[in-house]
Amino acid sequence: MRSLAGLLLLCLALPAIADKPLAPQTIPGAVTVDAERAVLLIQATPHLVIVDSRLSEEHAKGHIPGAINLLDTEMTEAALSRIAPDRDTPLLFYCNGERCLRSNNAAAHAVAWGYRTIYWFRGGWQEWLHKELPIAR
Amino acid sequence: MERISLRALITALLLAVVLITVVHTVISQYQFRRAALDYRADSISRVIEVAALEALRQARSHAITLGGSVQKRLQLHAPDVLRTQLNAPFSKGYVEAGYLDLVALRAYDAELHLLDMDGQRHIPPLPETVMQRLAQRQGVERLKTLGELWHTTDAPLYSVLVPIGGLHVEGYLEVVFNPLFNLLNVGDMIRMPLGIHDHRRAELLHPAGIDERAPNHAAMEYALRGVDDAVVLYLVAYADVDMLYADMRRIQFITALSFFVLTLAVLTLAFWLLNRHLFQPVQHLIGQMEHVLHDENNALVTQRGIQEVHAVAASFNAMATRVREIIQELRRISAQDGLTGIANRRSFNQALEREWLRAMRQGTPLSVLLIDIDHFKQYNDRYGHQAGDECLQHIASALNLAVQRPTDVVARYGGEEFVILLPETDAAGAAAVARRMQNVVATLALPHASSATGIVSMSIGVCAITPSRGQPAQNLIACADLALYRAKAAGRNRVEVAQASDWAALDSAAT
Repeated sequence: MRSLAGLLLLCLALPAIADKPLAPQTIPGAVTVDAERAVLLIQATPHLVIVDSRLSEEHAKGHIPGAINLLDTEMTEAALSRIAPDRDTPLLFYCNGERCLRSNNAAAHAVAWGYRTIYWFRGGWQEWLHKELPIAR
Repeated sequence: MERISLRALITALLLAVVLITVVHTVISQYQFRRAALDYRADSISRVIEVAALEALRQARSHAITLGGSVQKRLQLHAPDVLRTQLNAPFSKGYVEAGYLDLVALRAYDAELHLLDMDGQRHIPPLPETVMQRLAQRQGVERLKTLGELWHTTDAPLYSVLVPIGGLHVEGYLEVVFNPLFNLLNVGDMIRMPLGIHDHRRAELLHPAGIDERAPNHAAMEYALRGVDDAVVLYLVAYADVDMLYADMRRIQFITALSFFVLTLAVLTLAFWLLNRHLFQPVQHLIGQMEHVLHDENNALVTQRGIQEVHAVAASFNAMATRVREIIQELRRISAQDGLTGIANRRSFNQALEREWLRAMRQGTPLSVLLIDIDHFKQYNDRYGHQAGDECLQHIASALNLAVQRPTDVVARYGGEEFVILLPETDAAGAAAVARRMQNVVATLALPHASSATGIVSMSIGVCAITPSRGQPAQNLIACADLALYRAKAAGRNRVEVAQASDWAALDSAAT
């Protein structure tokens, strides 16, 4: 009976295994935003640092205007401090989309390093493109 | 009047069914073909739509990229520089410009006032509805790119509006291109010859390999709509319908053939069953009925066929039997005397004619006894009519019992007169029978006070003859009547045999 239930669980889990995992809905200590809220945030916050956690090639093809490229795996506390010295500096992280875990990872690190105002644009580049918002290159 | 037969009627009905199915099949064939073509046109129209929208989407994407690149450099507040910058995509090599048939670039400020433009200067401003829509946008919506398909009087246009100044909108850059350039390869995408017409149906692109004489190609159209849902372009794909028709014809042929075979089989079976269980039994029944009508024997029709025919036959048999019974009863009644139960005068006359002819044929003598009850009127007056009737009944049954041969006929001839026909009997034999009759009646001893003897007696006239050709049978009766007259005249209660003189008298009377 237990093995049967296990088999059932496996069957249910299979599609999830087949796809890349989804990023979590929220990150503790960070505010999740969508494209519209991100735009309003950018327009209203002059000192906002937008961190593009994707690869540099991806960044070069197009990015949110004003974003700084910093790959999550290369983002040490020191590297982040160079672009955001003050722990009160608002940060906005994004990467490719909801199946991309880089920005999630980066935002979590920023929370751990003591940054206090962190926004996470979960929909990322895919949502930005889909809504045909202005892009920079 | 000629009546239509059941077989003819049903055959006509079955033929009508066949005719209707054939006509229906032929008509439905055309409808089927039209429906298939309509369906094909509809699905191809969808295919054109998808391909065209994809081509436009790609073009729009290129325009957005181009607009994004150009807007970065625009200096909206320096008119001289702006002019040069707007000219850059036309004069310099922008990668994205290679994917577009650029018509114009127009720069607007944030309030949508035209600042400057480059390219074809004569193109009209954006349609009013688009401008209104742009002006009414709020918040983040203002940042989003807007792309619209529209047309001037002589060309289709596609405008893409990208915001200038990144996320802080300073103005808009309108990239105007001719979508025809991007739609040219829709035909390649859908792998069909494609023609393009403008909103006035003037041809912009002629389909490759399609001329006026291409009957095997059917035009399938898709209307590409733009601003205000107005048709901007008609995209017409030419589908080879030969294969479609060939497919349809094959399917229709198989369908129709199987349908006909099935119908024919069913009809044949129906006809066979009807013939076996209805037509033939009915025909047989009719023949037998006619036979039964003319048949004196108690013949009946055979009961066969379906329930109803069987029932008709049974009813007919019942009716025939009943009618025969009634006829026999009527015949019996019509031959009988109502009072005495012996044969009546009519029946006697028939017997006389029959026996007369037979005697003439065989050359045998024939005798008649004409009997009259003496003083019967007085009997009635004295004893009453009821007693008179009873007297007649007694005498009749006595006379009837007294004859010995089955061919002898005893009949009541009139009121108190009886007549007896004796075939193959000469005058002597007849006289003997007459005397025996007198004895029988005398034995009854019916009292008759008005009679000389005191009992009922009879006078009998006898006439015997061997009939010859040309003599009427009634002469025999007349002859016996003469004899009876003489018997009465001679005092009654006696037998008088007709003489040759009687015959002579009759013959002279006849001539």
